[in-house]
Amino acid sequence: MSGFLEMVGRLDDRVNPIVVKELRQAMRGRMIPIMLIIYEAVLLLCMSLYLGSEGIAANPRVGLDLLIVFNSIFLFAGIVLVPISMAVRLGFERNQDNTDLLFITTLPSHRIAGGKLLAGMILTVLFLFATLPFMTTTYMLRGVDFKMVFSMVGTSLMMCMVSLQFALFVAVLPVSRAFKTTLGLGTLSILVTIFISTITIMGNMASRGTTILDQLEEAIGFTVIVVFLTVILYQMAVALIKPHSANRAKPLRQWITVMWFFSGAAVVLTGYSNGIQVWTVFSLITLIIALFVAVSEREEWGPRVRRKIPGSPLGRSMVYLFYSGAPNGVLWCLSLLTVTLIIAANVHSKFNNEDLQIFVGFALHAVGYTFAAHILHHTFLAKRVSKNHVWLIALILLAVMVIGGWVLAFLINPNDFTSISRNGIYHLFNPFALPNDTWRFFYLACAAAWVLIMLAMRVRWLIDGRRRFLPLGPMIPPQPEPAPATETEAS
Amino acid sequence: MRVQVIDLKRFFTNGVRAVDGLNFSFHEGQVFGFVGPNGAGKTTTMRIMATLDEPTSGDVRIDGVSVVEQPEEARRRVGYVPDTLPAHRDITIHEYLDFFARANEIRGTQRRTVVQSVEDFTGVTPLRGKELVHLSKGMKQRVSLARALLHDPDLLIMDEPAAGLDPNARIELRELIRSLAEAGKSIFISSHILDELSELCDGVVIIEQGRLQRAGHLKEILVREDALRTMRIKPLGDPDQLYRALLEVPYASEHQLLEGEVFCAVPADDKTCSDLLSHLIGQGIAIVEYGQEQADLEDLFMKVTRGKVQ
Repeated sequence: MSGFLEMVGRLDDRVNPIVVKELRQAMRGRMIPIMLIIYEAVLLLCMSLYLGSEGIAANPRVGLDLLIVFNSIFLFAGIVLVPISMAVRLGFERNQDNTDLLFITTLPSHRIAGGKLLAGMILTVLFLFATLPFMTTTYMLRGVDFKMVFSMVGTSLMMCMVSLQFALFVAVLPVSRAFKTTLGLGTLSILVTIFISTITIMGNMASRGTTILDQLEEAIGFTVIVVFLTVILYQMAVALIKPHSANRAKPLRQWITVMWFFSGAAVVLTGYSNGIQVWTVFSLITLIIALFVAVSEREEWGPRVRRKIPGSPLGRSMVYLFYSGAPNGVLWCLSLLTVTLIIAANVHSKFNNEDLQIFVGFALHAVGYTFAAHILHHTFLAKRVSKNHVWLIALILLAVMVIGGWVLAFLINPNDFTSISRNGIYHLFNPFALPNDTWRFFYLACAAAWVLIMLAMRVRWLIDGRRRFLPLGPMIPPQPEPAPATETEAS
Repeated sequence: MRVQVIDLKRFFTNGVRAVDGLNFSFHEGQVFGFVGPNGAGKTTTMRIMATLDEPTSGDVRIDGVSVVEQPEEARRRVGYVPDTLPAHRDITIHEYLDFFARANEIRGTQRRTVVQSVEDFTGVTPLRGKELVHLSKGMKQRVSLARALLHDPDLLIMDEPAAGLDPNARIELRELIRSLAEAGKSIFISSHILDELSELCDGVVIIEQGRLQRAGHLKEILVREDALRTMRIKPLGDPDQLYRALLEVPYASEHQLLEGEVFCAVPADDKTCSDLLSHLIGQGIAIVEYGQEQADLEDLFMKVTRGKVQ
């Protein structure tokens, strides 16, 4: 008995403290128990209404219909309710005014983010357990087999996981309380959209009598995408929880590079044409977002990062692209973007040429706008706008060019300003005009020229960045031992 | 154990020099007050010392451990009591402290013992089952202190711990701080309540606009700074006679006659005061009451700072 208690005690010590705290708070608070009671009542009500309805005896798939209803209710809890409740709590704890929870513990950031995700998933599973007796009942009715139940529950849990991690990521964004409220409303609408899309897709699949397990390629693709999104959102949350001075980009860039490489290798080796397109689109979206983030990072490496820079030149070269910092981050994005587009253009012959041109165009515009924003900030706005907001300058420049083009087209040609074909020149540097066949080549040529000019202007910055990437030198030695309590004079 | 702040600088990207070259140090068992006008850079300095922020240059060494080079190790030696108090919902005092004990990797029975002893020390044991949101400000301050003590830090950094507390809670907090100092902890405490600080502190660090103004033992600074001492003398007879007599003393200045008493400033050493009294008695002036007014921390603060903020 004492051995068992000792084992339980040891296990208790190993549990992530965040999970213990979250679950204690969930059980002590009123929200989760009330939600569970209402949840059970809704499930019971749905089953009673459905089974009591007319024509039920003639329905050959009554079990399946009920399973879809129960799963939808579970999805609402798992995709909307649990993520929102977890995110609200984390948002309060992550408040910059509150240095209490997430800052002054010795808990590493990954344990905080991981603990929140795990605690959220345990609550989700709690809701699943509340649903399982009802789901089991559907098996006794018509139209359901085990494969259907398992695939539905498995897919639902994956969607719950990615939704939860998305909500947790939004909760740790370092923004003001007012902006966080706005962001929260936006997140809620995104989660509701995910919920509606998921129940629609799963309902359609179930109605056709198919499950995700029947389509292995899609199942693998879906799993890879969900895992990729969850891990990348998790890594971003970890990076945001870490102090600004930490080397917070490193795990994120490493994870993206590893995923990019292995998923790219898989689609190239298998020669799966849809796969290469999905991989290219995902890679471009990820890398363009990463480029906007990287250009907003700090220019100088602080002591905490510099003390981890390898001493040997070879070691420094190997880690350079992955460390936090703007010049190396931009270089990392440019490298992966270039290789992605080269692979997309050359490896698979079935790749649609028009799509490829649009992808290239988007990448060129992203590089052009981020570099232009960086130059603008560096030259004119360094003292007025924080370096963290260079991405915002890039978006404002993009918005100015896009809206400005339309306004100019309207002013000069008010009778036919909506036609991009006719007014293509006004939409120069507008990436959303790239689908226009007539002007696309011109747009691409101009964007390429623009990028070359920007690169020429920033090449020195990129080279300087590598030159400045040096380990921390010896610290200033402590001052000679003065008499107790110092005799420092006033300045 | 020695805490050394070495040429500490923290410049923000908007050009603000929040901390600009601070140098001071103190030892275990010492309570050091940290004072300065609002916006002087106190919280920034404390956040750097607690490894929550990174200096632009310079360092803080806690028993030789650098907060820049070894922040994880330094964090184990520091207990930080921020100016905000814990206000989490749905969590009791005991669960809150248990969480932080777990976060500090205190395991098994040791965790229970540590949490219990910290609860006893800070006097929160009777309320351990109460939720944090329902606590008074003084009790939250105790919980915050208890949390900072869980991992038995060498240095305790307290940012405005007495702000908003009622007089009883302040007295209790002062007693706790005293007993912690007696237990050998170094305590670095910022406050705007200067009379309390002067009662509590062995030393003081005064900053303004991120720059050090004074640092060291409070008594030594006061003696050094207080070049003139105000004397208050009440004569038995006509105060005008005393006033006139004092006007003729070359080293007395700033004479004032108020409600039968005469005030004047003299160089701040005991010999001068004694000589002055002998001189007055020698002049036939009968003195019934005599007193000296020495400068305190508040006077020093007013003298060395100009209330400038950045």
